[in-house]
Amino acid sequence: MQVVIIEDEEFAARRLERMINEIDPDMQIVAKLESVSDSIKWLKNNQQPDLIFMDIHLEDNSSFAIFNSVKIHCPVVFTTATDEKSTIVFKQNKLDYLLKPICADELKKIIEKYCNLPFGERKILDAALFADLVKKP
Amino acid sequence: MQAAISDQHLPENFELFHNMVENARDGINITQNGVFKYVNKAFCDMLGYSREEMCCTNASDLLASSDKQRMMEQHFLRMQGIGKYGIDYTTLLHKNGSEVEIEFNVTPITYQGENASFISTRDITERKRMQEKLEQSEYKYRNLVENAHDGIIINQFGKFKFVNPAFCKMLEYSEDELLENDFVIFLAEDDRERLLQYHKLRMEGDRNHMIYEAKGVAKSGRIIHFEINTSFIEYNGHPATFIIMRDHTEQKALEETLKASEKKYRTLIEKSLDGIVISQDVKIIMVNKAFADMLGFTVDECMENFGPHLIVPEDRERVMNHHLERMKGDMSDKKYTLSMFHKNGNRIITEFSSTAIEIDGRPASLITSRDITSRIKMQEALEKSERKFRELADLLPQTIFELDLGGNVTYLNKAGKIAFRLSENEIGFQATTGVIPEDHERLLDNIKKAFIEKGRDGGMEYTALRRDGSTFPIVIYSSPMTENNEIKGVRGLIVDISERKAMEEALRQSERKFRELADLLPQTVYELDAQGYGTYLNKSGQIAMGFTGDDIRFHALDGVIPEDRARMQENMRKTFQEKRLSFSDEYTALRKDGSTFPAIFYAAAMIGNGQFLGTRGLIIDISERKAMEEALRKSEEHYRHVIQSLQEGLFVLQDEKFRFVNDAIVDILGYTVEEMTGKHFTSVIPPELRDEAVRKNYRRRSGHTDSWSYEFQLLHKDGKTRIPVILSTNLTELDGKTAVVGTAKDITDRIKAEEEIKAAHKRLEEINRDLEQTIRERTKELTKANTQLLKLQKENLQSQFDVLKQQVNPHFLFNSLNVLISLIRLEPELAEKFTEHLAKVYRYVLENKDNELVNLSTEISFLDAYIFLINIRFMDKVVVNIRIPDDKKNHRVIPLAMQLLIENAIKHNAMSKKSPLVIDIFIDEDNQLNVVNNLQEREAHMTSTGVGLKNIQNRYRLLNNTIPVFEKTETHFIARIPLAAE
Repeated sequence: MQVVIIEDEEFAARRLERMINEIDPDMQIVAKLESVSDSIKWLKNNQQPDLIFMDIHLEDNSSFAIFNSVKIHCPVVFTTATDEKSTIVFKQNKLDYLLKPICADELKKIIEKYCNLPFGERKILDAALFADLVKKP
Repeated sequence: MQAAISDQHLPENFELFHNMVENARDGINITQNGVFKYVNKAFCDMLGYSREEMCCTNASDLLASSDKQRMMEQHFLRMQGIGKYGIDYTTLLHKNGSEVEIEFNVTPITYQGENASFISTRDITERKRMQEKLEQSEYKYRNLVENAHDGIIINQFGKFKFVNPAFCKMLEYSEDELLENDFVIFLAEDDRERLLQYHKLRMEGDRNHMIYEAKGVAKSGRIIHFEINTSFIEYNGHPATFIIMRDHTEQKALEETLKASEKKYRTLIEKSLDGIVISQDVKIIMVNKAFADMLGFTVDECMENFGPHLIVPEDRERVMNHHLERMKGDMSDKKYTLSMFHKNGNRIITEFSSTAIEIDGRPASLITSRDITSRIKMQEALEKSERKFRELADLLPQTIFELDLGGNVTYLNKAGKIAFRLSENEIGFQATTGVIPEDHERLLDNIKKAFIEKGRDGGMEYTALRRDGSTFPIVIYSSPMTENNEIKGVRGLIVDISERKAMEEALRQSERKFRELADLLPQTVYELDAQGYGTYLNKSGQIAMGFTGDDIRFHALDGVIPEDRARMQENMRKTFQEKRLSFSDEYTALRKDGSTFPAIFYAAAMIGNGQFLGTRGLIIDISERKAMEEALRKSEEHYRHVIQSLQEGLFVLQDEKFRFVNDAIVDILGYTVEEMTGKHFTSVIPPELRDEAVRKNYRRRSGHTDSWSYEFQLLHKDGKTRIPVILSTNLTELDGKTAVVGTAKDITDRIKAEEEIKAAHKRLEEINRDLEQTIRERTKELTKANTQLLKLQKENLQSQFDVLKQQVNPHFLFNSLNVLISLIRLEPELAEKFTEHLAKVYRYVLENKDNELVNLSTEISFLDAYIFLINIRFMDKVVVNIRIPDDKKNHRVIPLAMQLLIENAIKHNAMSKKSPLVIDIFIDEDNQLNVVNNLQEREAHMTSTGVGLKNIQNRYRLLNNTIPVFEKTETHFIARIPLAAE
């Protein structure tokens, strides 16, 4: 399983990487990206991974902006410290998210869910729909 | 040519040799170059040629083709001097074409100076044939012996000399184990003596025991039954016994089985309860006892007498036909009933069942028969009985049903079909479909219970369901149907209880109605049982007797004071014993709480079925009546007294004249009672009011009966003074005639007082008006001041709250925790540092949130800690430069302002290592604290509320200080915050 981590805080990214490796050594972190622009560039030029962990507040912009530029075909798990508005949207749309600091147990649950999920059942974000959801007051 | 041979070359004793050779039995010849040079007579005879014929013949022509090749090769080799000599065998051809087997011996000789062969031959055809025959014969016999299924042995001198494989196999020994072993080892020990005796007898010449049965034992101990056949032979020149034995074990066993089987069947037939007959042709071959008994004969009598005459005439032909068909070879089984005559002449009904068998190769019938007379009678009786009961059941008005073990309805009488509105043949449905779904489970439970506990169901109520969906209440009584102690189903009765239910309901309603009515009665209603215990007490009764809870148990005697109890008991006894229908007496009733009241108890006996069931009655509280009586008496006395001592004047007018006046009114008007009594009422009315008084009086007389009260004036006896009074009049009746009763209250003083009050009131009103005006104005001022105050307080509280909210922002806390948790493993020391700084930041926030101003130096040391956290979190993406000269550090600012500005900058700007967010903090020439950051604004999403900035401004506003200024240029955001002096 290939994983991409989008996170602008270096220590946080390294911790997430370590936690993923501890949970499932077979998971391969193919990229750690810090900004919206880097993420867009990477996602356009590389084969998309099986799963993306995505921080919301990135150094240059909100990570939601990525969806406007790249069609993402794989499931995305959002990570955030607190962003009440976003988490409400996530909950309403049954999107997966992790609250930071990330708990190992919760991360494990998410990873197991995606490892065991048949390909067809993975929830793929519709960029346009998602953008609408997030913009809504 | 022969002469030539003899003359020239034979030696001197030619004659002797010649004779020898000529007469030799063996054929002799000399060949040279493949040609016979000499042949003797025997040789010629051997092959059927004459000597002359032979001498001209090529030797090779006489060789049989089968061996010719070899012989020619041999000959050739001999001619070369390397061939073999000596005895050999070959085949020659007889003149008649037959082959002659010979043995020959070739010897090289010199004949007439040349090499030749001297050959002597012997015809061995016959010998060879004999030999072959012998071999064949031996082979045949060996085969016979070896492959025989019978054991074959030769016994000589008590030892095995020969055993064949069959024998070995039979006895489970190997050939080696047996040969030369003692002959007796295979004989069973218990039979050995007999067999040895036979052997001895045989040896003595007895020929009676040549074939006999013997018991042997195999190596394994298995017992074998043999049939033994012995004969004497000579073996190797000595007498021996040749024995053939056959394993009889199985045959023996079969025989035993057969015997047992036969016995069994014979017994079966003889003891059979069914009659058994075997008949063939027109004869009875066998009958058993049961059959004979059935007809009242002995077996022998039956054999003698049995014939068609024993069959009743109407069945005779039919039975004979069956029999004839059987004799013709009809093999089918037949079963029929027929009637026969008993020996005593009675008819009996029998059931015949005939099977084809074969006896002596010809068809015969094996017939079993059974007297079913009683069964048939029973069946008929049963059917009759069943019909009777069925008809009876159909006549019953209740539903009768039967269920099988599966809960299916197997029978339903006519009433049932009508009740459930079913057609004639509609059965077999599940019992549960007959009740509403809510009752299914209960019904199934009860059916199951009937099956398991074999108990009767004493009647459960259900709601029955018809096919058309209508329902009716029923009671089901059921009991299990048993047969041989086994439950076969359930039988039961269904009683439609709609009417009963309706009646019950009506009764209940009626009862409720009366009970409610009784409860509505203001009097106490009670019921007692025959022992005097209460069975009912209506609501009023419960209240009257002081019952508060639901527990209203009582005894009649408890309801009266102890002094009355003996009397009551006596009354009750009378009521009970004399069955008096009603009775009443006055008692002092006793409440639960001990209080008492006088009451009349009415009692009536309740009689049901001639039995005294108890009493029912009424208790009437007469305390009011008593009180009233008392009150009336007192009242009269009181009123008399009151009226006379009344301050108000009181009068009674009848026929417009004073009938009664009290002391007060005569005092008011200046008369005496005597003077006033009998005067016309107008005489005390001032002339100017008389019309009105007359009008009022007229209205009174024309039916206005309500009481009037009004101010009026009366005229004093002096004819001048007018006395203001309040007149109250009402109609009353006096001695059966209408009268007007009135009071007159002198209000001269009151009117005076009223006028004084009116004047005072007017003054007060004026003062009040002035006062109100003043208050209104004051209030207005106060409200204004208050509003301002509230606003200020609110703003102050809001900013404090905002500071708290901004600084102890959970987002900041979680972000910090996220950094911290990430550091713990990667950089434990840094993690410690981070925690220290985080604690410092939070402590500072908590300590200073209420302070209005803090020293720059304190604020900067807090900022350092905060920036430390920022740097770890964002690494090189944020750079904060603080350039504050030491001599300015004593200036004061509001706490947390700079932190808020840094946080704002981070929130609203993009940043990366390449183009970091740079925040400069310094003091400008105007002595203002500047917080400046480069602008790299993030795209939307981050809607700035400006709360933070407003908060800073408000806080300065509260301090009545210069207000900070925020400015956004193309490239920078600049905040200018005033510094307060130390």
